[in-house]
Amino acid sequence: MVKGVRLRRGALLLAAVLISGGGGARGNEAVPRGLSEYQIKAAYLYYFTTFVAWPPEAFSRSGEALVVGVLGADPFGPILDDTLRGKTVDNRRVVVKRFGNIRDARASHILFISASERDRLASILKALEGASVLTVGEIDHFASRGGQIAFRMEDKKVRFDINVTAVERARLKVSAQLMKLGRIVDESDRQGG
Amino acid sequence: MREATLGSDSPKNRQSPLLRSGLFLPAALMAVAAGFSQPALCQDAAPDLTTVGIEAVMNMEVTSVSKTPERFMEAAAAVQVITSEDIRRSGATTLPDLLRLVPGVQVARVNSNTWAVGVRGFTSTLSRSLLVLIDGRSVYSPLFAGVYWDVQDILLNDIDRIEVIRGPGATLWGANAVNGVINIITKSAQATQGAYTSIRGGNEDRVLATGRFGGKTSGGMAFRAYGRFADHDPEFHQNADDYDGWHLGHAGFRADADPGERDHVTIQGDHYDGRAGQRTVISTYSAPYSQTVEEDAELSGGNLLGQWRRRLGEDSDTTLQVYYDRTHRSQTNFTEDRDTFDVEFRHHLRLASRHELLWGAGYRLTSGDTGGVPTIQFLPASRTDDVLSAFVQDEIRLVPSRWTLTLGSKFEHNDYSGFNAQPNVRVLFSPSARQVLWSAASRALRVPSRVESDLVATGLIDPTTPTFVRLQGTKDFAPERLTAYEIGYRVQATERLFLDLALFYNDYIRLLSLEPGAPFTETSPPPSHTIVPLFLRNKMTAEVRGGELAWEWRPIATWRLTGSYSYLDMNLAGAADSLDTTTEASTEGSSPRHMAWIRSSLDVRRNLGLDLTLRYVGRLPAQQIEDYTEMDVLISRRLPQGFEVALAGQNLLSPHHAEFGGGGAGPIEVERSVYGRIVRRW
Repeated sequence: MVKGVRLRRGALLLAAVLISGGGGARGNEAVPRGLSEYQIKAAYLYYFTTFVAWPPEAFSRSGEALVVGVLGADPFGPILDDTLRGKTVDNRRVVVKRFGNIRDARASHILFISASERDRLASILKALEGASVLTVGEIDHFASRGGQIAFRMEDKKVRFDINVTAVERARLKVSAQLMKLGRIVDESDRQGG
Repeated sequence: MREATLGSDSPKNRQSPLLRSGLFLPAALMAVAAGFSQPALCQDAAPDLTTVGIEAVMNMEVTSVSKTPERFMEAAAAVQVITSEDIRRSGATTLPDLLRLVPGVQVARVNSNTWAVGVRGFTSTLSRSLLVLIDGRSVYSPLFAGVYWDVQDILLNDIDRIEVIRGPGATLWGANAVNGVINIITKSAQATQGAYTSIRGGNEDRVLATGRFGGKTSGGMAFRAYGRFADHDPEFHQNADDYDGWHLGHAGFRADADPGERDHVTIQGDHYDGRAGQRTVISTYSAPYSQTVEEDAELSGGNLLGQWRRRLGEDSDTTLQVYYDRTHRSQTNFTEDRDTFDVEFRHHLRLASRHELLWGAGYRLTSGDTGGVPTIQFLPASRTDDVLSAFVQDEIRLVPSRWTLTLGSKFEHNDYSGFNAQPNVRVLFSPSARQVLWSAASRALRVPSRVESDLVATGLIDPTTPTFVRLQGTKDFAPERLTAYEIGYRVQATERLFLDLALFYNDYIRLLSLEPGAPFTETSPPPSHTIVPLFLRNKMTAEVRGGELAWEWRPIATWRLTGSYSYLDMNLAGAADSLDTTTEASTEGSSPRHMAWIRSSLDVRRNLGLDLTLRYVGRLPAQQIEDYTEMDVLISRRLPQGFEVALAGQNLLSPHHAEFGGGGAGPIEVERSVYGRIVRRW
């Protein structure tokens, strides 16, 4: 830590020499650029915690915390942890957990299903039946195959589809605002897959 | 404690009420969309998107399109990816210098315009067994079997990523992908909209100026046009004989369009022109038999590439790629003009959900015209060759998310060695989502180049007699063959620590050897002289063992510590009937046994980055090079109005150090380099 501070001081000094007049923090004009897909998806996962209401019994299992799970190969790296660090929703801490198998993953409130699970999607969704878990994925046709919220790329933007039937089946309530922002998909769009 | 120190700098705590309210971002984005100059768009390493509102997030464009790490987590090969962010923060000004931070890759600067690059050994200025592709276009020279690094002077800022595969990649990439593949992928024109200029100036990289403009037509086609000029100072010479300065200009364009929902079309082209200082010893059959000439080599070339990708359905897509490439190289002792035409088709499909099938076919026609001096000749002077190739690979998910088996082979027919197959088998096991164990056995070939087949090069060894040595190609030179066995382990040990270990055993046969023949007297051209012939033959074998360990540790979100250690043990041996007494020692002694580097990338503040790299390269006895440690530093600062400034120091630990042998006058030493850079984006 001490080293970090020294490094910072040294670097600032050098930078001040380098950029005369440009020193000093200018955090307020910063609009993010150079965004990665997963920074955006991690932010979405945060917003989903605020736009979705879970039934009361969904929290008996994991105490007070709201669990955002990742099932399968994690595409976020530290991004998800950084995004959700210190967040609370309705006085519940938001915690990130990673799962290797679906049995443990039932304990999450939001479950991001990685693209690595695409061949097992049907069995994963079946195993989640009866659990109030918001499933989020990026596998092709995730929502029409029974997942609840599917990310898709639209030009260079990350957008999402909502499968309302699947959300209702999980006894979750999605706010009207989220419904309006997402594209509503029907399960009958595509069967099997 | 760490969090506490950092907390004062974390984006959350410094946001203005305006930004926190979520009003600023949509307003700014609207201004951008309307084409107004942005109010100070600054890049940010870790922006906090949770405070701007979901609508703002919905309208943000993904601008950093680096591949997801997960994809490489699952690769059953030793793969390292250099992202555009890595490039920006490396401070490297040339492509080979960028490769210094790939485990298992040795980069040695021979002089200002020449590099020796090796992957898992066999380092030489031409990197014979290394395939380098830029957007699918091979830049491997079929004349000399290798890559001319000086003319691969592409815009580093427009590179999306560089995938470096250590070990054979022949099944997918084809011949000459023996020790490694370097696959450079540039950004699509959609990702380079707006204007960009960059100017660097320093003691070694005297001038490095880049400009690029990207736009969109009303029909939705995105394009960019760019230019770059680089002028480099000579490196340090003991005898002050500074001949190796060079300059190169480069201009090009790229256009990307989506004519239909399922189609993506790319058209791109480049042209470069430059001069590179060289010192050449030319032997002559008449007195004084040898003279040294310092003259600039003339380098120029261009290419035009078109690619059409089509999605046939959810589980199937095709790619058709065609390119034409022309290079011209005129040195004191030889010239070459080469035209290459290449067409390739690939089809990727998923079958029965368990099979990921990739197959393709390609045809390449390459034609070269050489010229030179009487002592360096290619016979015949002009030659046209074609290569017909096909490959198939099946990735089978034996147990989904647990076991994956990949089987594949490349089949090729070329004019030097006829038909050959290059198969491989790879197994990937994921005991959990955070760790992967892989193993591979593969075979790869380096097909003969014109050097091994057609070269006749004569050099003076004794002016009193006079006696010459003559290097002579062999028409039936066989392909060098590698059988490689690899094993690797990757683990996301904690949220912040990633480790990647790869071990290999490479078994080579039919490697190039120099076999002396009986000396004879040649009377034509007069005066009569003695020739000691050295025939290029296939009489060496080699066993090479080694491994690379790479790590990435992010103790805090704004600090990334990466590093690697590579070990190499090369063991060459001549066949029983080989008379070669030099190749073994010269090859083994030109690649270091140990290499290591460590790098710290720190975001001191959200717009201020500090990057420090320490590199160690072991000794090269055959090149008479001692081991060395060097340090690079880059301080970069983002400013309002799209400005970015940086100050870089490279090779800071000593005024100059030698990295590779440089011929008769002793090695040329790489000098300490300092430069400043100003970038502006609109």
